[in-house]
Amino acid sequence: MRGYQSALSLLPVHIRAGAEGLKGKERETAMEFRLRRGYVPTVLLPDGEKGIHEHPVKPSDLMYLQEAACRASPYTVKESLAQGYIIAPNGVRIGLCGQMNRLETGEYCLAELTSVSVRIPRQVMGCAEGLMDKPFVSTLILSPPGWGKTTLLRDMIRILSDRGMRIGLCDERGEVAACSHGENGFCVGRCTDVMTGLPKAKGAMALLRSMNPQILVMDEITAPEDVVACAAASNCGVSLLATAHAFSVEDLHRRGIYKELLERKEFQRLIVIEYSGGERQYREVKL
Amino acid sequence: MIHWMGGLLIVASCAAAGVQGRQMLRRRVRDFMEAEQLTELIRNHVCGRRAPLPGILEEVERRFPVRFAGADDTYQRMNGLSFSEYWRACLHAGGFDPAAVGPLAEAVEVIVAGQSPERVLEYCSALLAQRREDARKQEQEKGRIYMAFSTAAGCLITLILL
Repeated sequence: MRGYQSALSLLPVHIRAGAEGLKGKERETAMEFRLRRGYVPTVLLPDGEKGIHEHPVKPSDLMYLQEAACRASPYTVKESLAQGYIIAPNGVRIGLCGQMNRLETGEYCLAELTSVSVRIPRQVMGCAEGLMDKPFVSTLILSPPGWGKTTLLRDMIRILSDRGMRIGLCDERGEVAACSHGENGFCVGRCTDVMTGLPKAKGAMALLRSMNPQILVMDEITAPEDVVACAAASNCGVSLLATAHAFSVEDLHRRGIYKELLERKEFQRLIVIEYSGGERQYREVKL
Repeated sequence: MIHWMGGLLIVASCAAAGVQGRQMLRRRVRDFMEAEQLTELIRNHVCGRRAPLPGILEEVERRFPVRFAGADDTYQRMNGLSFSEYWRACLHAGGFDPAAVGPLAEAVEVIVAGQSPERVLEYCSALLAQRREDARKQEQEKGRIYMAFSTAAGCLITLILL
């Protein structure tokens, strides 16, 4: 419930009052709050969006949310703002959408906000227990966005770390450990070293050089540099644990950077998250 | 005798009014100086180590304990108020001259809106320095005149009454 409360605290006061009205199952399964200018704010549940307030969202509501998310200091999140997201305290990811303007410097800045999504982070203790009964091999977790990759990853890290494995976590956006003021917002185990704020590739190299990890963890491999970092870690004898956006293994084979990873045999196991009837299932594929 | 004592009191109170006027001008200069120090403090934290604005309140409170007493604690308890609105209220409550409040409050307002803090704070600093110099000149020119005129006015009133 901590993640839910953190997400709630970012909403404008009158919308928050509506969201506080959610009870029981709805509160437990809520995935996102969505605010679109001119429409009523909604909460995203497994069976679709549901309105949480009767009045439409005003531009001032979106501005308030943005200010709360970046603690009134947009200069601290300039890079992520230009990419359309902010990570608020406690690992709450805010997606921003609207009119982007190109500055003289070539950078982009968000000039007009039209939609905001507030993703509710969760720690589901024990969700990875069934996947951890064998000795660990390099693993890639696959699923489309919002299906629980990061939640599964977090639990796998916790279990491995508590078993005494040294984990080096490159938490570029601070979503996995939700590190704030030097403290982890989520439990990621007693042997986990977290590098936050650095791009994944740089963070991975820094961890390899400085922390001597046995397992290197990266959330969302998206860039060719991440693949290079994976290869470097693998060549150093370090196991990998990572996530990627893909619906299925076939999907993964079709995409350039992942295809390269698979051909190099950097990963020995895939975990595909499947979602049916409101339930998540984990399917293991050996490579 | 009573007449002379009354006259003396009138002269003294007029002179005191002059002193107060001069003190007011001096206080303005001091306000601008402190506003400049405050801008410098914000600049060091924001531009130097990219600290978030609300995080600076604690340091501001430590450096200016009288003007910003309890500002940090109050902000922690605030709910639903924009930081720039809160900051403006703090500056007013801290007793700053309105001419010093303006640039400082607007600087934070535009930083919160997404402007580059380096340029904004530099401009704010320059504006405050200029206003401080104007206030100092005014204090030098008008301060003595206030004293002389008020004492002279007191003497004149006493003479007329006597």
